[in-house]
Amino acid sequence: MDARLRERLTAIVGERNALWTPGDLRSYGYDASIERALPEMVVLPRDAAQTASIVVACREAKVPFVARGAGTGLSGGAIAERGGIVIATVHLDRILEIDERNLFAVVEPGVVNSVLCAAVAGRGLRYVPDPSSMAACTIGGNVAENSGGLHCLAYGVTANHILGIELVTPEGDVVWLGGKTRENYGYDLLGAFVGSEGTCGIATKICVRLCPLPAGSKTMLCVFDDIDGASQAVSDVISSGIVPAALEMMDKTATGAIEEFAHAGFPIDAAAILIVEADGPDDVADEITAAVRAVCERNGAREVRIARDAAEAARIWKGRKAAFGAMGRLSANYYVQDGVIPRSRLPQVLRDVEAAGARAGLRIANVFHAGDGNLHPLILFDDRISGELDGALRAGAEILEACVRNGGSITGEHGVGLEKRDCMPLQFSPDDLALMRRVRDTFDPDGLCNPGKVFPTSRRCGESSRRVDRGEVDPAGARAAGVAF
Amino acid sequence: MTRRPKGIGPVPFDSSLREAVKDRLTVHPDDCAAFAIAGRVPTVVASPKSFEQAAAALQACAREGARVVIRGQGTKSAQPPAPAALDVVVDVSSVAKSIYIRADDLTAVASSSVRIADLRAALTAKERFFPCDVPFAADATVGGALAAGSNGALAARFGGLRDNILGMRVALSDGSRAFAGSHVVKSVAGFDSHKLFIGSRGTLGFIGEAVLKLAPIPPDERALVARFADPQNACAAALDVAAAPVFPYAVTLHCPRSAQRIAALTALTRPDEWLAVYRFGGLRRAVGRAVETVRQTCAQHGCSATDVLDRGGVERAWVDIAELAGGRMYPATGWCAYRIACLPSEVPSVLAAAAAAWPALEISAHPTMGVVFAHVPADVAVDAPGLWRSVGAAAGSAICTSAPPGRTDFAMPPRSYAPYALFRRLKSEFDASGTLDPGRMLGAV
Repeated sequence: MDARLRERLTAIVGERNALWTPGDLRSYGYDASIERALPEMVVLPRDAAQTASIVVACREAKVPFVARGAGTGLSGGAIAERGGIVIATVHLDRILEIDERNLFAVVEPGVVNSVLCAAVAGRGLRYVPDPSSMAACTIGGNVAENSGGLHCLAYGVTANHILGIELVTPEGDVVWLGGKTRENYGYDLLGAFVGSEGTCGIATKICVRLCPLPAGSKTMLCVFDDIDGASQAVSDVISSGIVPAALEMMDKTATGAIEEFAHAGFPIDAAAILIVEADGPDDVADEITAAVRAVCERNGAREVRIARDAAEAARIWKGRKAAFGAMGRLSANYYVQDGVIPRSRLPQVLRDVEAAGARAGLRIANVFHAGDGNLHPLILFDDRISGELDGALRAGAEILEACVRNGGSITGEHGVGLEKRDCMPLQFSPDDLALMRRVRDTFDPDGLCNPGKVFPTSRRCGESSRRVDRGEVDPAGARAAGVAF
Repeated sequence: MTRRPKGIGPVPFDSSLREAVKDRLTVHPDDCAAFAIAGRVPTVVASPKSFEQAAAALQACAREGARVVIRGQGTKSAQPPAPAALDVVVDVSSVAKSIYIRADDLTAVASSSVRIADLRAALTAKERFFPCDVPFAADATVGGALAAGSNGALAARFGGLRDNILGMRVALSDGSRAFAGSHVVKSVAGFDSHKLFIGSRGTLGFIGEAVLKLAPIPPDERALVARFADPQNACAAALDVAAAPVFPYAVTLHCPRSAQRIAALTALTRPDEWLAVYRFGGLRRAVGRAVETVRQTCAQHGCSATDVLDRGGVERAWVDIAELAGGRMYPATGWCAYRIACLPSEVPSVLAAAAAAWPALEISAHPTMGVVFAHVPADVAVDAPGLWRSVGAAAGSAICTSAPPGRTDFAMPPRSYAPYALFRRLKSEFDASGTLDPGRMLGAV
């Protein structure tokens, strides 16, 4: 790395906030995806002015830069594939304002999702998007990935809850997109920025919309002996006009693994279970659960159980949230997909998922946001066994192809990043991608802001291997850190 | 409507444009006058029959540097500023109409030329609705509504247009055609480029079709109508409701004069009272509980009376309520219309400032959203800078959504903090020729 740039960046953030030793850099070499690459330097700014100065310095040196929150991303979005500077938002972690009357909060990007939720809960409010990693992931990362979560079925994803952003553009200017008001006039750059995976600039303040906490909620567990019945029940619930707060589905492979250690009360012999949450005061929640029960029973549910109290509901949700971790009981590694399909296509696509696993000779567990049609097939493999990783990647590509073939999307909430960039041509034509490049060029004409993400390379979908060529990070170390690949 | 040209006028590109739209050109000045945009008459009107023809027409115009306005039914073409120059109107109202509804998936694909009214009828037959109540609904097209980006009161529960458009097929001025977004309710694949076209007023490209997110028609729907002598109290009640877990579909507030325009509520209006309308939908018990909660909240804030509308009453009332938000109730020939965005808590001060400036004002608001619609008779002098000062103090922004042709005293100074440099770069990336209605976006972009 150029010594002058290192000195300049160190002068901006101070020595304590400038990292470049191999030991320091190693922590920033991976996220929760299969991707690996070390940056040349990591800087930890404290405000927008420092961030803008860093960006200007990188731009003048023609060095790429990558913003990074907690590194919980599942698609390699915060990996410095082309080296350069990682700008970590760890010190940008203040909640600046909570306006209860106007129902918004202004936060810095490094604020952890669950910290914000806790800060507003005491005022009867909530920030709705709740990705499974909410205990660690940051609001800045959520904005970059347009994160979803368990409750986005009824309340929307991150994009629906962002009012404004103070942005350091890739040219080092500080501007506001949107603001504190619900309406803003002019081109909707905010709408394009949210979900742009850190390629269009760095958010340094984020104005989020807050909602009142529901008056109560009820959790129900619906048990099915065949997966088609469960799938059809999901489709029927959605089309009947009932909008539960959450509607999740798991298959037998998943529930078996979870129940062994989480003891959530899941029946291990059922082909599939649905977890449904209904928001509202008791009588309202009762009305919703009764409607869902009727649909489930019509589709062959053998049991519909409503959690008797908060403790039982918490156990059920703990089981759902433990699903990915539970896969360790079944295999050394798993590869998670994130495709989306029209909900009416659930039965067909779940059969396609099973067939893809069979062709690869691998088991697949299904844990997903059924209400949104957002699948999370967990392809189980052991990377110590020759060929299994390739099989997992092949099965993953086939699953994404099935999603697109059925009118869906290759990713619902994890993002494209490095991991799925070569699958973009499955869903988008060259003209479609060219339109996206115009957006990218609007914000970042020099292409230095998180380069290499989103847009495809010359590889084909499923051809990408674990990036061992950039993978200076020891896979064993990554596994020990809880990274699933 | 369009008729075969009697003879091509002095338009250098007529052959390529004619080829693009297969002879569907209008050049006679009398015929072109019907397509005037804010008082400006185009030299040529091109009427493509398909998305591909529309793309080719834009490309032909771009090659020649002809300034183009894309026009649907023209319901919002009076929105100022008037085009600085106008050569061609691309009249997309004849582009093939199609609606494909995936009722079970709560999505639909509609071509831009479909009228909102026809879309609604088709969706109602499938027990679905598109939860955006745009103004001029009887005549406006899907493409026009999206290009104008005017959200209605249902945004309180369902979000605005940008939250309910999943994808879009677009054509740019260089003739390129692309799809942006997705066909499913959740996707983060690539950039949400389609959101840039919502509210872009046709300055980035032509919206050929849109993928819509639908909502099921709820089993029950009701509205609570509350009367307030003091709009400040009505606003305070609305803020309390917004902070409570009752989640109304929409909340609107109307001054006595604008309330008189809601035909279905005539019997409930009083000459000195404001009307607040809370609309709810959902399962029967949830709706009943919400109505009762809001009734109590309004009573605590001094409302004088409340009434409840059933589903039929809601539907009848909403036909007019949606049009009070800068729609057909206030034609540009007789009114100047402002759309003011502010913090919800600042709505009372904006109402007071606007009423003080213009006693003849008619005003509606979406108080929980912080949006105020101020309508001033055209024969009243407009103190736009005065209004601007009031709005600016309330941390908001405002646009004039219609004004009589030729009026120039409506102008609102652009906000200094808007990212105009990015606006300009976006415009040049999407419309390199600069031919799509240049200067008509905020900041003269």
